[in-house]
Amino acid sequence: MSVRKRTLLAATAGAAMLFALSGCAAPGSDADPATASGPVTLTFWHAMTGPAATELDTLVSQFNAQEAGKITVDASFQGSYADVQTKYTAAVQSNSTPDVLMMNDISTGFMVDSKKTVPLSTFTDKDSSFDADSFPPIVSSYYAAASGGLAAMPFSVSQPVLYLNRSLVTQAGLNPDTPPTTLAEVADWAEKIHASTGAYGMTMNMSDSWMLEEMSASGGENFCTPENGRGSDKVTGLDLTTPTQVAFMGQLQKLFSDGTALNPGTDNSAMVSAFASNKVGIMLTSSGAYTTADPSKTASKVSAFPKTSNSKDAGVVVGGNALWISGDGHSEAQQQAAYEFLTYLHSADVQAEWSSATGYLASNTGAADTTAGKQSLSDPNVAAMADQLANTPASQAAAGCRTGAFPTVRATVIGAFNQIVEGADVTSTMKDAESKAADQIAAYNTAAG
Amino acid sequence: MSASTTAERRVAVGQRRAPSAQSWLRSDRRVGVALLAPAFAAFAVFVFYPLGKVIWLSTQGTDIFGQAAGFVGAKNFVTIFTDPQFGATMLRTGAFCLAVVAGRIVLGLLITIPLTTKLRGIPVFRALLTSPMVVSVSAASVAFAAMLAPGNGLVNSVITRFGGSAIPFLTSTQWAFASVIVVTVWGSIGFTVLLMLGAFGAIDHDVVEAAHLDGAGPFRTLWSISLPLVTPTLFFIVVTGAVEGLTTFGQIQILTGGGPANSTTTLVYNIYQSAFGAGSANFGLAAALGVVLFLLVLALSLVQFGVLEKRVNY
Repeated sequence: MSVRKRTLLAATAGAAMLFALSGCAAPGSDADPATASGPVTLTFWHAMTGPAATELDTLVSQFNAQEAGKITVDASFQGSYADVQTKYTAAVQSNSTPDVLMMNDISTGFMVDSKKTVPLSTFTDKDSSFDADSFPPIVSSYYAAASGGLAAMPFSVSQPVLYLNRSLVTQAGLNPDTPPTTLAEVADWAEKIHASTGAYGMTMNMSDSWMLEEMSASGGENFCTPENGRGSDKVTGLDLTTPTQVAFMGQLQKLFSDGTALNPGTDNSAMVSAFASNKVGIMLTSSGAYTTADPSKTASKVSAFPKTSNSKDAGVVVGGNALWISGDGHSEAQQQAAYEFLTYLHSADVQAEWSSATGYLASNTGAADTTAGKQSLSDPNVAAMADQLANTPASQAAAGCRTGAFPTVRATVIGAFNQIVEGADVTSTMKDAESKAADQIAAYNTAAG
Repeated sequence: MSASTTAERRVAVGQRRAPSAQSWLRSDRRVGVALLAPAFAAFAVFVFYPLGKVIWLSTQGTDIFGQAAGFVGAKNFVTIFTDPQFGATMLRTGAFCLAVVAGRIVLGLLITIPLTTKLRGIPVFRALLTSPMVVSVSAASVAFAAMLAPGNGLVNSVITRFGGSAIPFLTSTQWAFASVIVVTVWGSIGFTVLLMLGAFGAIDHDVVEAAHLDGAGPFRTLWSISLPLVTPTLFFIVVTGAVEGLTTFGQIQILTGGGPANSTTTLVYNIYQSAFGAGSANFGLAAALGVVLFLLVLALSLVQFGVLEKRVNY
């Protein structure tokens, strides 16, 4: 072997190692939680972008001004929710967790299992001015702590809703002001819109299994077993093959396979822009998409997410994010300051402001009585979203599944559903997904200890 | 490596010539070691230590924070090799590599050969056709994602405008894999053309002229003279193309996220999913997959140097 060849070989092997190994090391930082005496500085990690990030910075500045000399919140954007979780796990390893952490809905199970945070109820129990009834009931049950009270402070609340494109719906001879209320009606409308306008009849998020979870809940079905993880036992598996679930997946399969429904793949923003540009008649997605889906606020009609059965437990699960207070390595003064910051963000005025600036729903029912809240609710579309949130029953199905393995199993379920969309048998494909998800959940539960 | 080899040769020569040279030789060796040290330190920090750590991690269980949680032997490897998806992922990775290499070579030659002619305006085309090189993978992928979007992407708007039905480029298992390959080949074609232009430009004109005088037509000249003379460059493209194919990540992450139904999940994407995929943090399993990828890239490189290189004219 010539020297040149050996050098090339060594370089290739070196490059191979670099390529193979990059991405396997965890990042770390070395912030040291201060021992508080005098003004307290709080680190706050969040995942907000765009108008929400601007508004959050404004709220933080207002709080800092209000608490000048006592508390300073240092907010920093950390990327997507998945990025935040990755950075948080690295921070746990290097003992540098932030004082306040924003985490999304489905990572609630992981945060509880992490045991690195102090349940919000620890502080609210001692705070007589705190009104535990200021949350919509379904929000309280979503973030409920096992010991009673709340595990975290709900901050940004959203729910899936149904959007109708007024123009396409009217062209199809349908009345947007009497919107469909069941998935069967949605399917019927979608077929009519597609047939008479040539546009897609409907679309929905397909980047993960979120829509399937919501349709299970809107049929009164648990997504996880046992008891959606809301009882005394940990979640050990998924329920994907009840008659209600098989029926709605069959309806969706037909809509996607005959070209009535638009499959947006992983690109949720492309889905919203397709709706906004009159390419889709009906869209099932988050209430948070309202401002981008319909900037004029008059081109669409928003109504409640369709039901998949007439069960009394039927309702949709809330999404969004909550704020967590770190325990280990953070002084009592820091924790108390963090609690004060959270109660500020939960106040009726702040929630009304946050809601009107971002499109999230207010997590404080008192926000409706504020000036900003009244102005938001004068839009019938926003009022429809608020009605749905207020009327969601606090059932186990609508409380939604809680497992730390949720982010992982979502990928499994949407993978299986993509096969169904292309014609695979609903029951057997979802049985396979149930079995794979059970393995993933078991692996997670072992890791969580 | 080359510096120490030189030093050793000097030792041999010096010993024959004069014993008094011993002390000088030692200082020469010290200089060699000193010159090597920075490179070795960089390799130790960025290659050898991570390699050792990954091999160690691959034998560990992981808690929910990704921290090593005790020795588990070969359990992670057993998990990998008993996963029914793993075989499909490996086959897909192999198919992806082959397609990327074949795409680069075939398309590269189809673009380069006309560019080697001496026509007016050819420099403009050379500049245009090598330009994808300066576009980052992420930027290109975002642009392609927008163009190939199912609802109102540019490509589907054109197709439907002319009466066709929209094609699910990124959302069907039949199309997504091909779409990612096309974007990958597009991204690397500029550099490929640049390399090929250099190689074709370096061919000795006398050889080509001699072939003409002997009555060889343009096709025969290309097949029997030009192509054999550019084989070192083609070999380089095959090696780098295969490694690129094995390690592609950005395009997959941005265009399809490994879906639909895993149809674009390759080995590297699988590693990412295991380690960082929404809340997974299974660094033990990811490290084991990393070891598998490392061995694979190494084996591929050895095979390429052992077998393919014999057909290369240096």
